[in-house]
Amino acid sequence: MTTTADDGNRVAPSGTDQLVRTPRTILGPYFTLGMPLCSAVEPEDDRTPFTVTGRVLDGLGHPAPGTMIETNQPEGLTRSFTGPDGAYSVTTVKPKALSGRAPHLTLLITTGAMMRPAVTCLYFPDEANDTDELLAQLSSQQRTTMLARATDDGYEFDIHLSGESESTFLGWPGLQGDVESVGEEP
Amino acid sequence: MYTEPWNTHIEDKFATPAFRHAAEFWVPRKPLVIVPSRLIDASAPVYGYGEVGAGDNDLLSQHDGVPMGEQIIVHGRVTDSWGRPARDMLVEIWQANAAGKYVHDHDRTPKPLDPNFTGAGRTRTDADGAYTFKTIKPGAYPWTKHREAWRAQHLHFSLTGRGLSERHVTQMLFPGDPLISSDPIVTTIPDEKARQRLVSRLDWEACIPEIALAYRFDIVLGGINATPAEH
Repeated sequence: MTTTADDGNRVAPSGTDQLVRTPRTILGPYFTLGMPLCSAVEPEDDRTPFTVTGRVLDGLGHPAPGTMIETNQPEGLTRSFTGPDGAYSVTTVKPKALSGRAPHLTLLITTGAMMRPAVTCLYFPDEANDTDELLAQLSSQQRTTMLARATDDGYEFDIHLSGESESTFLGWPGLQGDVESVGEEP
Repeated sequence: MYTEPWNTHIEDKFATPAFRHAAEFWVPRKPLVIVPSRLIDASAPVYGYGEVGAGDNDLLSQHDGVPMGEQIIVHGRVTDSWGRPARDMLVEIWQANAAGKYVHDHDRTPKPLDPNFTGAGRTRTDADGAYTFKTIKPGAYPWTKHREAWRAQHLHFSLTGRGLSERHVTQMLFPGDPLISSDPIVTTIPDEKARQRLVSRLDWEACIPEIALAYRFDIVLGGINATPAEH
């Protein structure tokens, strides 16, 4: 993990027995985690807050209640759950654009059937998204799944867990080796 | 192509329609789109959900009264595969009360809630990767209509570091629990040896005499091959 004390040192210490990973498990239907919920990012400047609303839908197009939505941006994090209709609502501000990137939110979507969050991004229709280094790596269809729609008081962004309209979920190098060893002796 | 982060192995006898539906339709099915890890979570603030308070790891003291049930200490170390500490990680737990009931909308089983127990706590690991919780031993509870589908007594764990998407979710079981071998979620881990790594051990040294037993649960996050190396 990147959080170890020896972060950056990729060489195994010699003379120590390698410990085997604690298996991951699915979260199960009753997960709440231990942190308080927070559905609003409060900026320290005068940027105007807006809402991001949407629904989480399963592979049959049915609502997925009890799904945890976490948003991440330089200004802060939110964590909330979808209601019985699969809907969520977050209040936030336009994120600062990072170098090489258009303003975006990183979204972590977690259902009880997952062992880890599914990661996607939300981009805004009124920004210069063609400058974004991540979007440049995606097909136009994939880019479309990351684009929010403007509404009267903010933006709308539905998440499709699977099915034909499945959202574009991201992975990164190294993830595969991690997952393959789950539940099996190496 | 990378296709397999979500598939859950379900034992036939536990494969109820609801469990199958969740495993099939509440997870992505398309391959993940692999991008350089610097493009994900690059700016993640640590613990942006709020500060972890000193008492947040004491689930016995969140209300006016003391919760019902057997008081226990749960502690351990979080490390990488070489035993090096994973310090400053956010450790979150959630669990049923002593009767096997969750404070959760989806838990509609006819069992009592405990007004003095919420069943969620958090802490962060210290410089040695160590964490501690005080809580009560959760009750076992039935999972489905199958006669043998009971969840063994367990605590849920979520560990988060700087990279939010690297969150490690697991569960702690109790030694000697006869329900482990037929637990519908534990058995989603096909390998028996791997399942055993979810079992804590009774730790007499950490017990509080005449008050609380202690269980030790060390968590190994992974090793060299598990680490996104581009941050």
